[in-house]
Amino acid sequence: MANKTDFLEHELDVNTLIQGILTVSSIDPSLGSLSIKANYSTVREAFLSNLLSLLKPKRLKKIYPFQNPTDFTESINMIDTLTLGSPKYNEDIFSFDNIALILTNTEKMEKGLATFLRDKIKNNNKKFFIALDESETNEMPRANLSDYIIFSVNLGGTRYVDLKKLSINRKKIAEARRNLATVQVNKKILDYLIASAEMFSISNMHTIFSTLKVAKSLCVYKGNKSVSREDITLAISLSMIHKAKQIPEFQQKEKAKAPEQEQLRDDNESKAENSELSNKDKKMLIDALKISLPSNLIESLFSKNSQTISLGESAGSGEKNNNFSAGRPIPSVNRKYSSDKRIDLMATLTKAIPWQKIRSSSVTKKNRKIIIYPQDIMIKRFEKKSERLLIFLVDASGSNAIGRLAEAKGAIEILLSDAYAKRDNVALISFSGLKAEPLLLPTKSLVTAKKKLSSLPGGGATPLANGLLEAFNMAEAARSRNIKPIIILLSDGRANMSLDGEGDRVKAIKDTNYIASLIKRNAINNIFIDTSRRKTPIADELARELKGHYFQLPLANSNSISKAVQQAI
Amino acid sequence: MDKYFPFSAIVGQEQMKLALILTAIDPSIGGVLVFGDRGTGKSTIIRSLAGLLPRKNFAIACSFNCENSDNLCDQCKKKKSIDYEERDTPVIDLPLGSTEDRVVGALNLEIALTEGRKVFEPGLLAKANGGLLYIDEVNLLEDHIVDLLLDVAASGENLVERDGLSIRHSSKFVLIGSGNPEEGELRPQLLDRFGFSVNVTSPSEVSQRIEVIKRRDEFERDPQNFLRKWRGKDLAVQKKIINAKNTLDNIKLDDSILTKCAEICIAVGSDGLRGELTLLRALRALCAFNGSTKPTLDNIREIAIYTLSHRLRRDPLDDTSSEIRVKRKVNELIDGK
Repeated sequence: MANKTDFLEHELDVNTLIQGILTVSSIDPSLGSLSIKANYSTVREAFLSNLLSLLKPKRLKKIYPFQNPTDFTESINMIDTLTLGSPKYNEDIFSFDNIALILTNTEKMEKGLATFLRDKIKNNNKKFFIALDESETNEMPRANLSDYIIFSVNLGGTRYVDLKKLSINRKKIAEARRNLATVQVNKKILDYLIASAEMFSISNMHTIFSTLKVAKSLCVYKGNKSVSREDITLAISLSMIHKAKQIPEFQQKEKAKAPEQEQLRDDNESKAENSELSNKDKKMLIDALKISLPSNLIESLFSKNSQTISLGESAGSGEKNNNFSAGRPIPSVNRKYSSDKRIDLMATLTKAIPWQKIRSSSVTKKNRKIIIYPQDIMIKRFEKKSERLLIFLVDASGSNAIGRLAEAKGAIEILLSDAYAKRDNVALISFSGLKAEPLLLPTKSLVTAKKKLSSLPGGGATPLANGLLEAFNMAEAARSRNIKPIIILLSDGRANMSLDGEGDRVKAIKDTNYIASLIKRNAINNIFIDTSRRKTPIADELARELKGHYFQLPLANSNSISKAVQQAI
Repeated sequence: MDKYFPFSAIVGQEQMKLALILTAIDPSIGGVLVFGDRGTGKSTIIRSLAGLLPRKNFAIACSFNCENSDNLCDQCKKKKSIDYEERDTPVIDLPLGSTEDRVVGALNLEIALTEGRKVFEPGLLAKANGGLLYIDEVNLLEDHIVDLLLDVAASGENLVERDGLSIRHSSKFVLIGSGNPEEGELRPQLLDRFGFSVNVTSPSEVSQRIEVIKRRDEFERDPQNFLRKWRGKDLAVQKKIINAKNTLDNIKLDDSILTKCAEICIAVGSDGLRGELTLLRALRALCAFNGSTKPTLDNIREIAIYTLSHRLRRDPLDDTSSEIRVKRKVNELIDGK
């Protein structure tokens, strides 16, 4: 049954959220982009079909993560060209209005394509982008793209029965669109918007500006003439909060930044209206957001370290090289053409030329200069060196810190300079206390890696199993992007915190060994650098479970560690 | 979108704007590298250049942007007479994931298939000749494309030997790169090609941010009117650039300035002589732009950071900002005496 109610009158859940998003983006067609975070499931499909039935796009096009941007613009359609004998071009799909573009598996998308699409989304007009994001919790989304996608829905925890058929009020939207140009925004409201952005550590001016546009659309939809605080708050929850880099905490009193930055304002409004929102105001905003947001969205923001064990049964499948698209060219091969491949024209012509005399005698193809048959087609091949990712897993627990955290840091710095020479990617995960935390997501910026490392504090319990799990998930994510992962663990192996956060030593060791065997079973290269003073049975067992390379730090001087890593790689 | 945000209406980011203006005055300074977070206005500024740069004369119906008779492409050489027309300085995008074919040019498929002739289809390097080549996310560019660019940027000439073609054409452009430093670093060889390196951040003052949002809002609401409102200011800058170009040769660099520049470059330990050369050219351009005839020590102070900070030989793991190191040395040397 259709839900006839207006999204404004209800709390935001997945259904009203989508009503809101579609209403806003129909009023202002430059706002049509939504990222859906969910794995493939009936829920996602149902959600998508609900969305599309409301959106009613004239055309629908899917874009896959490894396609080349030229496939969508200007490029020649090889098959048609060769069969018809005159050049035929692929349609430029971005020249259509009212088209819905579904970007699949955005977490795996090639950088080039992501940048290309980002520019399209940035200058969006009358198109609707739906980005499907299947990344795991600890996987790095394509920030490049996700920074510019305006809305986001997380379907985690949504059940099929929660979804409802929806409708949007097209009449009201049409009227709102006419009034959009006349909306007023006063200075106070802008202040409020900027201060809120600051609170969530958002410095991207695009995000801030699109939030204002959302608020303006909401305002005209309500039939108002001037954007209110309410509009801004709702707009923030629709288009800004999922990009927040930090959620302000209110338990501790923030160091009240003196509002010295005097503003160019002459009216003597109350201080609460100042650029820095007063704490009371902040609290109100957060509460408003909490109420207006679907509970799982907030949850996903707060529990950044929630983990899922993904049993990588398809291990190694990601390491295959997609060698028809980019890299160093190597000789072409005679293969069947498909759009992910590129034709080597010279080789194809060379192959076709010896047959021209015979072929030109066939009646139907008389008036063509060169006759090419599908079997002549030569496909370009490229060799791509597989990139590598060194995942440093550092034990920052009390037991290790007292001993040798500093030495371990030294060892990592040596490895980092090796990584620099080889242009490897590095990531840094540390564990102590209750949790494991990725300090640095995979990057090539080693300066950042070093900064993060030197500011790493020590102390607390040893949740080794959590750390290994985090590293394992990161390694699997890297593999799915065709990057070869290597886990480098620096720890004394004395786990005393189980996966579920209990200080039970026996269970902790059991969990640790279990995850270690998972790493072994999935054939992830690993190096265990034991930082304990002398070899303990616990470390010994862990080393056996990991079945990688094992070293004890006392013996390992800088060179032997570096050599060991080279060999292991 | 055809209408770009006007250059003069951009709030703040003075360093980046100055760097771009100086390279427009003297393209031999080299390119500009801009590092900063997303959403700081990097690409907006670069796009706005299209409306700011002085227009140039290019040969009509020439796909290699021939500008004058000394350096003609093979096609133009065959013509009896060449007509020129005034056009905007080209600002060409080099997208990530571009193929080599797209960048250097390749066989024209259309003609090859329909007429069976070999004709060269010019690539981005031909289109950018005499203009700007802009690479967004330059630090993510694939290595084999970087090699190609380095070669062409050094020689000013694109030599194509592929698909049975042999073509040589002039390709002189100002390289503009932008990127987000957290995603990776740039190879030193490419880094060195850039005359200036500028860091940009979002404006930190609330009033500035509000101004950014306000102007953007105004622009989107009524682009025609907004462009008209700012056109005068853009034209004034353009006029200053043209004047500066004409007076560039009149700027005197006396030995005391040369000595100071050399001292600074030695003190910060910049590799090679490109640092000094760029610093001198930038000084000259800056004076021409300001309408003065002789550079001052303060001028050096103003631009030394942007011309030198990316040229320091450094430990890849050393994280002290090279900008700060350059600044300290420059201040020491200038104020010391």
